[in-house]
Amino acid sequence: MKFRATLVELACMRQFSCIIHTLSKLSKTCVLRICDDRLYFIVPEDHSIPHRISVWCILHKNEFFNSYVMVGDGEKNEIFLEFSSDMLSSSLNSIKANSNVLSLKIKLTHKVAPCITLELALASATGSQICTHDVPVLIIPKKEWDDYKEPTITDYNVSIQMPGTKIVKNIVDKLRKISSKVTITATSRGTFSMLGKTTSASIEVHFKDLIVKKLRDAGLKQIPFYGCYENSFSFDDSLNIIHTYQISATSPSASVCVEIKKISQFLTCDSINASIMVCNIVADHMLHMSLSHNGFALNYYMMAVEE
Amino acid sequence: MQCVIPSQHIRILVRGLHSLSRIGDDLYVEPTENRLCFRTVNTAQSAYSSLVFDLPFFNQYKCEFDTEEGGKCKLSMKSCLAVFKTPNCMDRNVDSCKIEIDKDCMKLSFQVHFIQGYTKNFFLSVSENETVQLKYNKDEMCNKISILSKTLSSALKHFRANDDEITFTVTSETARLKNYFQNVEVSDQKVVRTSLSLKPSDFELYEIVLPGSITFALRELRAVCTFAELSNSSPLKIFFETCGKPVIFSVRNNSIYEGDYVVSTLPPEMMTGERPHRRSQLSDVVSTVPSTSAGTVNKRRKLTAVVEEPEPSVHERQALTNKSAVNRSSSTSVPRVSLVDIIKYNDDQRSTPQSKMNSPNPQPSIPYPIPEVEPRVNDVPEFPPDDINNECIEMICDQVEELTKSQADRIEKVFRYCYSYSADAPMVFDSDEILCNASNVGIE
Repeated sequence: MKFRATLVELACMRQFSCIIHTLSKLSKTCVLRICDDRLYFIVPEDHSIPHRISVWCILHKNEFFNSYVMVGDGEKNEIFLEFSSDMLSSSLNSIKANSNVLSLKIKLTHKVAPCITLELALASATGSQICTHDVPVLIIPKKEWDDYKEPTITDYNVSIQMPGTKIVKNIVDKLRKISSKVTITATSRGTFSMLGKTTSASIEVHFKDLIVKKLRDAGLKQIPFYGCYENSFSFDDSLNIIHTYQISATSPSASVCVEIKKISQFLTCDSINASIMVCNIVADHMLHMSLSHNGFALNYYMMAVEE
Repeated sequence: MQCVIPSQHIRILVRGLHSLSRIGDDLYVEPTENRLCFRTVNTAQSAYSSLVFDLPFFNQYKCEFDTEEGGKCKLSMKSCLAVFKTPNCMDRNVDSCKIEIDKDCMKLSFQVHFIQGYTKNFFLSVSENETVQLKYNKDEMCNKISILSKTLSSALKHFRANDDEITFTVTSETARLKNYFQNVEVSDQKVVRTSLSLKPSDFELYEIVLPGSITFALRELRAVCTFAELSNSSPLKIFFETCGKPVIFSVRNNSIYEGDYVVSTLPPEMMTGERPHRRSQLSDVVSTVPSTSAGTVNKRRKLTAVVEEPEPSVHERQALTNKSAVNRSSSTSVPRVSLVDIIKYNDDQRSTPQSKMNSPNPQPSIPYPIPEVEPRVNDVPEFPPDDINNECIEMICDQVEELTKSQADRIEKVFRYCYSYSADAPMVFDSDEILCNASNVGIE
């Protein structure tokens, strides 16, 4: 088994370091699957039977690495490793902070125990210094490889492009203070809403005019759509629902209720330079957020919880 | 003891105290005739630090104690830090700082003048009158290297915050920093091993006589770096020999300040990663080490320190024991800052600066009024240029016959202070002391 890859461009190194940083927020341990032409970072969901995957991240070799050599196991020529995402992330911290990193070499080595060795070449006033980090890894035997299969859910009800990550993160952080769950709703009109409820109040935030990528009619509820587009609103007697003076026609939408902590952790990806974030909903079942850019994709699957 | 520190040196003091606070819990202040020392030892007695400020550091410095042992103070580090809470804003906002130790060495006060016009007074109580001193000799160490603090700080950024110890390996061609783990099997899966290699060209001075490795606490090295970062031009010097002997870090700015940090290193038998066991003490100095509660699980060699206590004479002994009893009882509760006053400055009150001093002494009856100092304004007041000043002073000195050097110095001092922009009557101590009566003899 052999693996050796080099990153030379600062932007690629920064992107790589941000992706690992996001992974470290999502989970303590992570599985790295090394293939011929790409890397996968996989996080299985704990305590779930059958094994579900909660994070699936793909990095294409050509977009990140200058050189990429691997010799794997088995007919598929792949390597599966398990490591602590925290350790890898803290080793890569210096890339974000300093701008004097010339190159990053990632190698699979065996120093008493199998490790991923990160070699950072640093520019200094008088030549270069080398900093080496050895992150211990666990090699996953071939018989367990089937546990880490790509989730293949395609029957989403709504697929909508999300508004700016920073704004959504801001709102989620504020909603986090009042409730531990959030209901995400997306409609065919291009509206994305987040609802947080407590016993005495409920707060709903709507983003409108977003691009709807896909809509599957079957299984969608016809929910009367309350649009809070105007500033005026009022509470009804039970202080449960915010009415508006404008009730638009009913529109097909799908919603799902998930733990707000998970969304908040995923939104630390705002440091990653990415073009599109898409939200896919399987009504009342699953929320799938996906961040993609040329060269990589980060998918996060969250199961619905009871309201 | 009284001294005044000008604004350009405040950041040195603040940074120095902050870096000492990262080492030990008690601050030992020792003023002598020509310098002021701040020292500390950590609880495990494996690190000692001494900051010495020489006369050029201060605007004014006066130290007079009755006994040779007087003036030594031991304070709680926390209370000192309360004076200088925010180092960054202190750099910009403080105009001058006056440190005063009273005759009995019971109280140490800081009077901090801010540029906005107000003053904060801090009165810290002294818990004991003792100091700590370690004998060490930098020149005895055969390996000497010198590195810019910026290079070292950026190298240390690669190590985790929770890495305890670091191994420094030197050969004639390379120098390597590695994190070191005790109690951990080499094949343990739980740690990331980091290693950074430097070349001799990264150092300002690289003299290695005895190649080898030393291991010491990263925490102390980071404390050294917080102080060393102050000066970009003068590099940090490191003196060491072999494992087991202490490593000395020295930060110096010629004749203004000198900071020495002595950190003990792991002995050779620990370096091979064997199971830890109790070690023998380093017997450099005859030790009268006060027993500390911490340090049972300390694997490192203890630096033995000499604790000097003032030797009281027979009568004073009783008074002292009473005092020290009082001190001890008050020091069970952490001596905190006892009083903070904020005095607002108004321009019209400047003419009676004496009344603004927070001193318990009654106003002495002064036969001649103290000359009024110009109220401070933000722009520079016009005063005669220096060369005219010098000429006047020389003229006066020439005319007076048989002027001794000290008298001439005094006269010069008086005139300089009156004309100096930073002269500030309340800050000038002894401003109520009459140097010489007005000589209007012969004038009708």
